Amino acid sequence: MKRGRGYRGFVLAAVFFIMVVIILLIASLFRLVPQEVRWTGDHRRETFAYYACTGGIKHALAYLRQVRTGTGQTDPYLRPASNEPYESVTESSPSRSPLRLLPPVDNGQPLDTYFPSGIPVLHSKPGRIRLGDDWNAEVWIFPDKNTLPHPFMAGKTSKLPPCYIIVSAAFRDTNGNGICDTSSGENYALRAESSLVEHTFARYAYFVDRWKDEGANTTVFRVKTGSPNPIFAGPVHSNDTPVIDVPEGLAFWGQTGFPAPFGGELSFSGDVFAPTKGITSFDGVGYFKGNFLGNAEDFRPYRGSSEPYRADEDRYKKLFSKGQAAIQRTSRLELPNDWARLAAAAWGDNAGREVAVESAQPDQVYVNTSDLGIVSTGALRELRLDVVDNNGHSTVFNSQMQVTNAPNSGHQVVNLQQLNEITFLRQETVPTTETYTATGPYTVDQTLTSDTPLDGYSPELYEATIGSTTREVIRYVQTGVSTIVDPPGGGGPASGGGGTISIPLYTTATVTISVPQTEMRTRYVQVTTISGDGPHDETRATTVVEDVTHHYAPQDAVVAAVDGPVRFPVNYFLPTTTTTSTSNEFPVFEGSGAPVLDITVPQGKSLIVKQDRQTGGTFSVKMVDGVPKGVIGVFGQVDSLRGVNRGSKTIFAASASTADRLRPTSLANVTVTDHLLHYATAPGALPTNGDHALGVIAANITMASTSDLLNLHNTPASPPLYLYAALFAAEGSFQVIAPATVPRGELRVVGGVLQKVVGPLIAGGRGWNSQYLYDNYLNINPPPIFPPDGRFDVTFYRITGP
Amino acid sequence: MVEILVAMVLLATGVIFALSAISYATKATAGTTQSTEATAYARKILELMLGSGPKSACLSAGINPAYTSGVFQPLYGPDGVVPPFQEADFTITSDPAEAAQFRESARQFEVKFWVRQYLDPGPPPSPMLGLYAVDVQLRWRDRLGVRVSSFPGLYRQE
Repeated sequence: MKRGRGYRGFVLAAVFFIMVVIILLIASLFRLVPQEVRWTGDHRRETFAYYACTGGIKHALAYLRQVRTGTGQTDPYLRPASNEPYESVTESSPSRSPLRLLPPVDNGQPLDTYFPSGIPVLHSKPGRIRLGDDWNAEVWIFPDKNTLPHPFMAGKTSKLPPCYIIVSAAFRDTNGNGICDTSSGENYALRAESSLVEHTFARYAYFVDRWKDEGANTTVFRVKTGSPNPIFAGPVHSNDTPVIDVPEGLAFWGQTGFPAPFGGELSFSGDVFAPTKGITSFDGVGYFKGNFLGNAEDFRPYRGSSEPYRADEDRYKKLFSKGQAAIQRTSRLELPNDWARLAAAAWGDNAGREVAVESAQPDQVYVNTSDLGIVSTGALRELRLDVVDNNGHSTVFNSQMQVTNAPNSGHQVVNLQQLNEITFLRQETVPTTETYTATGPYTVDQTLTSDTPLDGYSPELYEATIGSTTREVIRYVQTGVSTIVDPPGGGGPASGGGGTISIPLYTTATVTISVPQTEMRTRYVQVTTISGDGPHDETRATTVVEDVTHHYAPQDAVVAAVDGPVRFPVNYFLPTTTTTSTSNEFPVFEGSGAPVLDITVPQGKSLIVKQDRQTGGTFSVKMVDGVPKGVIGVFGQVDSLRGVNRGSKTIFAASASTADRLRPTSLANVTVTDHLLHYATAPGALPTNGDHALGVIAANITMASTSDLLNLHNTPASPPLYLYAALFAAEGSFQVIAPATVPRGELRVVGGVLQKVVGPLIAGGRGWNSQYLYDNYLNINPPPIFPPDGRFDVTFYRITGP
Repeated sequence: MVEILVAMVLLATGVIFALSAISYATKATAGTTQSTEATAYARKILELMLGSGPKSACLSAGINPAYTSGVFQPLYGPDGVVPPFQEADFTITSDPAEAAQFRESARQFEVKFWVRQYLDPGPPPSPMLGLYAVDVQLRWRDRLGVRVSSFPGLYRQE
């Protein structure tokens, strides 16, 4: 009993202890289980939120691409908002959650963002970015302060590629009203922020929309052994499947010490035309005889005779410096067909336009006086990019008007000469001969002609009249003379002189004249000498007053004094010196006030020089602040483009028949007739900055291939012809037409060639051997308003809590 | 005697509470492991579908034909992982034990893909060029029955 009494209560105590343990276990379960369930739910919700906020970024990118590469208003901040998924709003406090954008300070750096209150921003409309049943993203697209002509920038155009900051916040829309309704308990779950820079077509070393032969069994990228340089040092894109031909097979794969022919990525979207070229390929690229029109392992970089193939990275690295990773299948990149942005930039802002666009006259050059956009309303015989020294002497062209070098200093002169000539009649006293009858001994030459070859006859070309047409022209009748004194002129393309100049004064009338239509024909002539004694015809000199027909192609120029003052001489435009010119060809400047003959352009200003459209005898001048911002629009073809470019420029040739000159939808052709060099960069060297990028946009871009030009660049001792430009043949090809029958010249493109259809640079074995170096600055600092390709560089990306 | 009686009642009550708690915990946590695994697989599949390369949602501006079946398929069937994926897409090691663990785990799941052009709700509704709505659905069975989880994302083709 004693023992029993001693243990009394022990069972109860033990049970209590067990109960406590059980209670603790239960309590921990009640604590841990919900936590685990919540964690699992959190993991799922976090996943949903992650894909919702990143989806918002992708939605914004898709929208920007759609707007920037579409038609109509391509500035997303200026689009009408009715059907758009985004609307332009004013953000009063960019630092609030979930935006949290800082700082609101402009430090003056280019490509730098700041977010003052009141900044315009694109904001997604409620419920437009929805994933699944109830997860939504709310997106804000902020502009960079330098890069678009949006209201924030007061419509000003930047040369930099557009940049954006995108903020996307994910939330669960439980009440289905499309917004994050915090009053209903909804909250932002996750926030993604990204900085983007827009790509332009200028980033490609080579771009082709489709192959010339739409059967695509003849046009290929042919790579050969032993090439010391890459064929394409930069990115290449083909909308159609590219076909690579490795004709030497194993010898190519086995070579060492040579660079890969493709230095950048090769992107493409896939077969456009039959036959299919990439569908049987391991990597999507067509390999001539490797998978396309054959199935031999020697001609492709992957191994195996049938599926499953396996990549041979060593071979890929022989083709692509980045290996197989260089091959990227992308969506099709549509070529632009709306050139409104370029046209708007060329015409410039409303305040500075010389005339209203709709009332602009044909064959004129208009320069916007506030932003110096340049427009020619007529086709050009020549568009010359000259650089002159402080005295107006050309440092680019020699006396044969050939581009000789790229100077390290000087001032840009953009010289535009119209293609259409102005014809006029002028009453003049002209020397002539009269025939009279003389007697005595004589010896005369008698010329017999035949349309067909005869013995003793020699062939000669002559201009035969085959018809006539009529034209209304101005007829000038001299009424007096004015005399002025010309000081010694500067050089320009030709050296100048001085002297006293007589300027005729005229009255004018419009008359209709008959203009002969001629063609060159061959005839056969025989010249015989006849002697005799007696009456015979002789001629003597005399003068007669009669109407003389004159033709001239008007010239205009814009001279930009960037580094210091530049003197622009009167005779810059003349092909000969003033001393050998007749007086009525002498250009008289008609500036404000008294006539001036020599202009000094102060640093920071530009001089606009225009030749008159009556007789071409006078030039008017206008001095404006600033230098051209870089877009030159030509409504018509450009028959000769050459020179040295200083300052980034885009030259585009719109169709001459464009009805609305602010919205051209088709282009005209441009012919390049000599070097297009980069200011302060020796021919052959790569640019060291992006300050002088040149873009050329045309329907077709033709490389001149005359014997004179080819012969300057077709010997080992002669330098290649260099084109430092992004050449964009948006409706046709970069090509040669009927090249001269001389040895092929050497052409080097330092920039990019972009074309709708692959064009030939060699025809019939003649033309240009070409290589494509790559100017990486064209990607960073493309020519102004160069069309976007719809792709973006992501320069910053992070995901944070809201 | 009373003491033992009270102790037994208490013990019985404790056991009943404990069993109830365990039952609750079992039900509450049923499938959390599989749910976590499903989320992880879905993330991996989405990463592959939303990234570039042959497993992306779109190839050359067209929906990847591997994602057009529209029916649930075993994530890991007798022939291996559902095309176009590979075992290596889901494992980070070549350790045989881990691979076996992956196979064992993956066999529990079925997967269905759904890709179509993103339709901006408007008004008026209109497809957005180059933007695709992607949905990965995973189906598995746990103690509570068949469970389906849907993971949506947006794909933008470069």
